[in-house]
Amino acid sequence: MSTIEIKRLYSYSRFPESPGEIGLLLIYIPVGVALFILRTILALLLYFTTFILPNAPIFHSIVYKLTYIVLGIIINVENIDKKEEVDALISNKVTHFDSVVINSLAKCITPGVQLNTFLSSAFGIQYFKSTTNIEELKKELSNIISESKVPIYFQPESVRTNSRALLKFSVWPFTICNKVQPIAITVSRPGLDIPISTIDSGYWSDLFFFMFVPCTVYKIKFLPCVEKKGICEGTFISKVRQSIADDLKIELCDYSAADLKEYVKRYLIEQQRNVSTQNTTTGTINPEIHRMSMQVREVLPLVPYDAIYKDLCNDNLFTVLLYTNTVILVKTRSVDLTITNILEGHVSYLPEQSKPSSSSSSGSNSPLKSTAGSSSSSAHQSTNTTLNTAVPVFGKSPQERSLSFQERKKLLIENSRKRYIEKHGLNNIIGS
Amino acid sequence: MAGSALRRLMAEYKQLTLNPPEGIIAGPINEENFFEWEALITGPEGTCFEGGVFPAKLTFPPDYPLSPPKMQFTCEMFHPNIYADGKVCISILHAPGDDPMGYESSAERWSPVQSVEKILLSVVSMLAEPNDESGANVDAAKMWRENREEFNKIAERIVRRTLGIPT
Repeated sequence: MSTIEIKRLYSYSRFPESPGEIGLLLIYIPVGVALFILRTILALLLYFTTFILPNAPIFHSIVYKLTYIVLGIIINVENIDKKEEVDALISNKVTHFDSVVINSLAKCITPGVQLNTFLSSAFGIQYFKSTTNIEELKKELSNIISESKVPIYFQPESVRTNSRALLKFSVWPFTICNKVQPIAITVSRPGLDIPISTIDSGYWSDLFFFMFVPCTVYKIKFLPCVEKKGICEGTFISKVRQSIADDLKIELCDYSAADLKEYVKRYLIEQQRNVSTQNTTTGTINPEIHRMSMQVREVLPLVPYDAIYKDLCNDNLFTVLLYTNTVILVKTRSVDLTITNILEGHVSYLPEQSKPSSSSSSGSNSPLKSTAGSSSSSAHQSTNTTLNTAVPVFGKSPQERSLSFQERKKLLIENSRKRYIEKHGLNNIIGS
Repeated sequence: MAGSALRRLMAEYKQLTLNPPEGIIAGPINEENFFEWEALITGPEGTCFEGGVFPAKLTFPPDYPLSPPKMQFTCEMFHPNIYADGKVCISILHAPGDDPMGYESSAERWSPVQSVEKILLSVVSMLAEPNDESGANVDAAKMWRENREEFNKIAERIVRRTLGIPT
């Protein structure tokens, strides 16, 4: 079994990362848009023609050809001679149009495909009443298998991935058929390698890219049939699965469709949360600044992420102007600068968790200040000699501060001493 | 991250200078080394350490405030939670995870949200109410439990010493 990570089963961006490929894409965009418009017009014409076309095989093939032009699909078939009469065709799941392509090569019934009646008659697809009840569906499908010679087309992976690994198959299709033909589908886009689908793409955006790229090449390979005769269901399924995986030269993985759906759901929630918490003026999140924000937050955990991020953005502008050549300086200075800005109160924010002890901290915006007012309870003032060591100003130079520090220490000890002597009536013993 | 440690220490120093809790002073011994501080703590009223001014040394790690500082009294001390050499054993000075005694709740542990001021205030309340379960000084803990009168006498003597009053 493979140890491929679930996140590697999806593409995350349609667009390439290398500068060369981006350049190529930019040059191609005008061509792609023109192609898309032409194909859209053709698609509309084709759609309206299907209303008047009779349901006859000769027209089906014309409709298919035109559809492939619209979608830019080129099909290479291998081992068509291996095609046999079977109960079911089993393939991996790559695109939305797998079933259309397979149907054009080998007439089959695809459960779950819903086209309107005109389209299905134009394509010659046998319309299949899809039902949500799996038991009912199984019964109907077994009826079809026993009655007609037309195979049923299954994609037991159930969800589409980027074809890096073959998912676990769902079991039920294999319970109703005895002989199946595995089919391996490989899809590629020569020239402009834009992923078929991404983790959060929908039907319409996938369709757009079909019509935008020069072409999408389907390599369909019919593999030797597998029969159930005498082997248990589990072995039957794994035989079919193995033969598809071997042909595609990909690994088998341990994930099922449900695992992937759960992953996608979590991924999308995470995305949403990131967008909402990091909703800054710049709109997009700079990962470098995000990392630096986290560093600042380690030092000052009460300061909200937004405030730090914003200040870091400002800092960056400032330091980039000063140190255009040295990126390292920009980075390190920013974190420190932001910490200083926050500690010195140049950044306004609301502390994230309100502490019960902060009673007199209204208006102060430093996390350190907020606890300062709460401490007087520990040392009660009873006489005139005060033990309060506060000074009105914080010296500008180290010497000034040091002097003040030494003086205050002396004062504290002196005052405490006086107080002690007074309290214990030791005046006459010690004198002054 | 030593730069941010410095900045934070500077901010705390400023805060403690302008607005310190009563009876508490803290700051760097010498600003050339901002990671070594000196602190004076006044013994809380109504306790055996009342009136004493106890000097202590605070040593900050380079990754402060991620890691807590260390605190050691530089005067003679006799207290259940203070080692004979003056080192203070209190939960706020321990990061969650390293629990030498095994019974400190992590709520009162060190985290970057804490500050020097909070440490010093915790030490003040530790002086008032020793935790006689964590025996940094077993003799002191035993005496605190069994012979409070004797303990108070020793404390009184220490208080007078810190104030330079003959006993």
